[in-house]
Amino acid sequence: MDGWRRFIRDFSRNRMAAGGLVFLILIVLAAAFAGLIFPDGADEIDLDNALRSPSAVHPFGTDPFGRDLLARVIYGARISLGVGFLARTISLLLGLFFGTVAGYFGGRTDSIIMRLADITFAFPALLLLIAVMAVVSPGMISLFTVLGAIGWASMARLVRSRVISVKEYEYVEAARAAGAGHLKLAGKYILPQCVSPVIVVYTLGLGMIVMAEASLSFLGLGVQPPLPSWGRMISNGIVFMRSAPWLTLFPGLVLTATICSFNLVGDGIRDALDPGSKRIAARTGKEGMIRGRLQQGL
Amino acid sequence: MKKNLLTFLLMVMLAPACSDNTQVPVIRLALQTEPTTLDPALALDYSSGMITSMIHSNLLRFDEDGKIVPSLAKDWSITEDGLLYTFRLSRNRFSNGRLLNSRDIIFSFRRLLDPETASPRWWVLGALRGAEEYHRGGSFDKNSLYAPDDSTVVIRLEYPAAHFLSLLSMPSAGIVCEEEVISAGGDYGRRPCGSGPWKLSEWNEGEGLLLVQNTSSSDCNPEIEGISIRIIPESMTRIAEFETGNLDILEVPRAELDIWRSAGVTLLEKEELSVVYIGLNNDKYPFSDIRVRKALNMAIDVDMIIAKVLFGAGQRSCGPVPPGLSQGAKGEDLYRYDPEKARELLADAGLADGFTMEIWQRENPESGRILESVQGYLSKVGISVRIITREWGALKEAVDKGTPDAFYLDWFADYPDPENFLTPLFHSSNRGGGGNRSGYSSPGVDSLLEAAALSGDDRLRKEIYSEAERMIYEDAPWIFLWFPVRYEVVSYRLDGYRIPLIFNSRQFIDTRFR
Amino acid sequence: MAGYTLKRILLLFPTLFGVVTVTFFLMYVIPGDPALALAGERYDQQTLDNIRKELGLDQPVIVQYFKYLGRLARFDLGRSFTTGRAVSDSIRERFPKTVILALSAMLLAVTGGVLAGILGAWGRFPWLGRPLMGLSLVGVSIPVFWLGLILIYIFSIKLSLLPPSGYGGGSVRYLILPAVTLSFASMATIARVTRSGFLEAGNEDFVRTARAKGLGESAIVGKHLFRNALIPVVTIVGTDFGSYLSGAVLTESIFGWPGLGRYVVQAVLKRDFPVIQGSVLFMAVIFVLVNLVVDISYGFIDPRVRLKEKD
Repeated sequence: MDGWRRFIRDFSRNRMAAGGLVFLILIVLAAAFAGLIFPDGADEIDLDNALRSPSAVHPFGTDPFGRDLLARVIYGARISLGVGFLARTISLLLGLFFGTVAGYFGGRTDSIIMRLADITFAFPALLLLIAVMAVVSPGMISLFTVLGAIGWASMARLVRSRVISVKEYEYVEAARAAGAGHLKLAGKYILPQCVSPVIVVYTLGLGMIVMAEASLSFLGLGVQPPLPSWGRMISNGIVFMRSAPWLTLFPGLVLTATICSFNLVGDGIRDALDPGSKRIAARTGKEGMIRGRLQQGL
Repeated sequence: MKKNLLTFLLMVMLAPACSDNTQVPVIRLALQTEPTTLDPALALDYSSGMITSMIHSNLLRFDEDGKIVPSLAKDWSITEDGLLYTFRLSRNRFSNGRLLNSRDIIFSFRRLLDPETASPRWWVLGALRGAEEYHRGGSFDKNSLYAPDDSTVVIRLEYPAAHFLSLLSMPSAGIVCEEEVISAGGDYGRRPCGSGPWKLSEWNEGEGLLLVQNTSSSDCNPEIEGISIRIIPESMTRIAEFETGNLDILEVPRAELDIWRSAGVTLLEKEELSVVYIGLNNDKYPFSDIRVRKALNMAIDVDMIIAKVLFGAGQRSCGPVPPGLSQGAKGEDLYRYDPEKARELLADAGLADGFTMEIWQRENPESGRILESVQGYLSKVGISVRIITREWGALKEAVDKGTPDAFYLDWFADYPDPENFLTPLFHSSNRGGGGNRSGYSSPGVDSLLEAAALSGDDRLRKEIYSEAERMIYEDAPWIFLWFPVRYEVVSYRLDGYRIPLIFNSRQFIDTRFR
Repeated sequence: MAGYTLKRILLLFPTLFGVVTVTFFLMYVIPGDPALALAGERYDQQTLDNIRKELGLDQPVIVQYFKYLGRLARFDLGRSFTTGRAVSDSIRERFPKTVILALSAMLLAVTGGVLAGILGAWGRFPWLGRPLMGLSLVGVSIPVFWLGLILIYIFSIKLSLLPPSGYGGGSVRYLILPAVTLSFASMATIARVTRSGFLEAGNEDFVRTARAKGLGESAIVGKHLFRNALIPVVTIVGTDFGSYLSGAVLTESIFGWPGLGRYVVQAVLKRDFPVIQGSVLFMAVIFVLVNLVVDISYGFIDPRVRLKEKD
């Protein structure tokens, strides 16, 4: 696996990306072992200790209920990262399926799927989200389902364009001539060619989902209390902006740092995988698509 | 004249651009939500009701202390049986200059009841003879509302209603100008014309409204040329606007109370006529068991929540009627914080191992904070709470159908009378959409409430209401929480402003500039 | 090119029809009766029935749907359930304000972003590259609402330099904070894309040739690199501008900007069907049109794209 080793080498040479990865690993570990670090959980209310400013006991201070803000931020990572990974995976699966089908078969199938993608793009994400939250019970599940469902379109477009170009490669033609079926052709010869751009878009999209989750929670449409979510922590902290600024400052910093890291790692993977891919991604503007719809569109 | 108006408008337009401009004789306010309509028949929410009643006047109005005082009617008489009301009008003009006469009262009241208007507040005049039938599509009883001459109006009721004068002072009973209603078509709510102290000059959607003095009104405040009302959804932004000198009045959010208390400014304080509660679904097990309901009341340290989460901006409620209106159950405190007792009561009810319940709320960061602490307290007696957040429409639909176990709501008075808290919230005929959302039903309370409504003697009436309130409190249909206190700061240039007891009497008639 | 454009325009119609239909039926799936929201806290069945009749909600959904399509064909978006105002009046009043904010944010983003990108890529200021790119990384990653709050805190509360919110009758002072907030992410993306575009183009043969010919750096930047680096910028401008024009909900709520975004969110929360349907359709039209313009403009900037579209 020479390619793999080269990838590791290239990636770790990129100090920013490696730094981002380290930060993410730390956050993931903290979230995973939150129960060990803070065995009391993050929901226990202790009104006597409300709104303490940052100190050695409470490095991030306490919230209006006397809960340790650091513990809440770490438990909150579970929500934010969980929603991010699940939503992106849903987008990935949907996008891979529809993108491959559209690109592989072309013709009418292709144009129907691409029209659906257009409708998804043109449809305000927020509306869809509120609708789903009203039908299903609001909370984490509806959150990542909808965020995932919205992301399928850009993923499908990317996969489709990749499939269309790979389809014409000689070895694919050769395999087809040798009588390989649709499934085998797609699975064995075409899809592997889509892996690198998909990984890059997947990672970059993670940051955007974390941001979207925070934005929705900020608007009051995210996860339900007492689950700590970074966006909700910031939104609940706004009225305390002057009396207890740490309530908005720390969750905001961690949130920004996390999204930053996802972007760094995504860029790093892209550069290490294939220096040429940067150009494709930039030109087709897929990043812009995701960000445009999820962040500003909200 | 025209030039003056132009300079004035110019000044108003420039006013918000320069923060140091304190010379403009315009009161600058901010509201969190935009009014939906300024049509008295359709106005429902706080913003709409408040501004509607600044523009329109009624036969009577509430003063800042909630007392009924003459407005369009200079005097009135009520027959012995409490059924026939006769009002004599004073001379008043609409903001379009036309003289207001008794036919305008008849037009406005009939319009409110007309099923085609589809007013959600038609019940304000529901006591008129034949009103319910008319609202159901029947014919209008012309003898229930007529004008013997230009300055007299006679109203005949179906049954005596002791609080009828209060109802007439509500924004919904505001008097509109017939020809303007007709010429505006469906847009009257944006082009209102009344005889109140202010008239609408501009309304920029999403941004704000400008009211200017209505010189033809007898309530006109000559010292204040206008009121600018900006729509600012974020409370932090409203504070910043006040701090930069762009607002004259600011409602202080509770989280900021400590800052303002120590800032040395005068904080105006007023117990509003409203109550905050968690309604329990009295029809649903285990909340149908009075021991469980009492246990829930005792399991929560309401005083602690008021102190820490509301920063003191509330008074713990022992009963549903705010202290300004009742003298009844206030003394006794049946549900002092006592988690031990609560656990015992739960054990008696066979729920020693606790249970899981849902509390529904509408989307709002502050109620979220409150419910999180309620959740914390209930978990200590073994009850695990799931907080369900829905926006208002969905929440109301579910609550009115009786779906949720419990729901966090508040109730604002439309008029300062205990009737407004007890009858809609607890009479069994109002179960569901009528206001009694916890489904409370007690024949004893029902008959007391009915007796009070018919009683002409004010003292006796209050006593009956106190008794009803005591019975309700003992039955614990709600988790009783608190009566909120409102805090406002006012810029130094305003004088004579007080927080009114009831929101729709905020008319700025006596406010002056220093 | 003309054929391609025509085809793209024709394709807009099924997309828009899909958006209209999905929105319409989505409205009826969502629980929450709009009549209930209008009935207040104290109502009876008769009141509900009267309101439903007044709003036309008493008819079967499919009848309502075709009536709605009929009205759309006459360019009538109906009246808001909650305010009774014509939806087209509200959009007409709010859209210009959305455009002002979107345009100024985009302008800021493009000038700032391209400038930062060029400075970051240009060999003359090697020490500028890293900090600029670090800043742009933070720019892409910082949540809009958090940035907005911090800007208000610094510039309005602490320094009292700029008004914290409002439209201010179009005064520029009111525009600065929301425009900067909204532009930040786009600016950062544009800076990154411009920089990498320049760096790559710098390695391409024709630029090396030009350099070898002894052309000055600024001539190279101006003549050869600019065009190549421009295409990804156009993409970003297109998508971001499209979504700015459909209203930036977060920025608008924080700065109390009376644009389209808040209008539609309020409507969704209040189940105001005509407003939701009308503004979703309007936003979709804007969004697809902007995208169309962007796609077509590729052809003018880069002939290679034109060739690619043919297959």
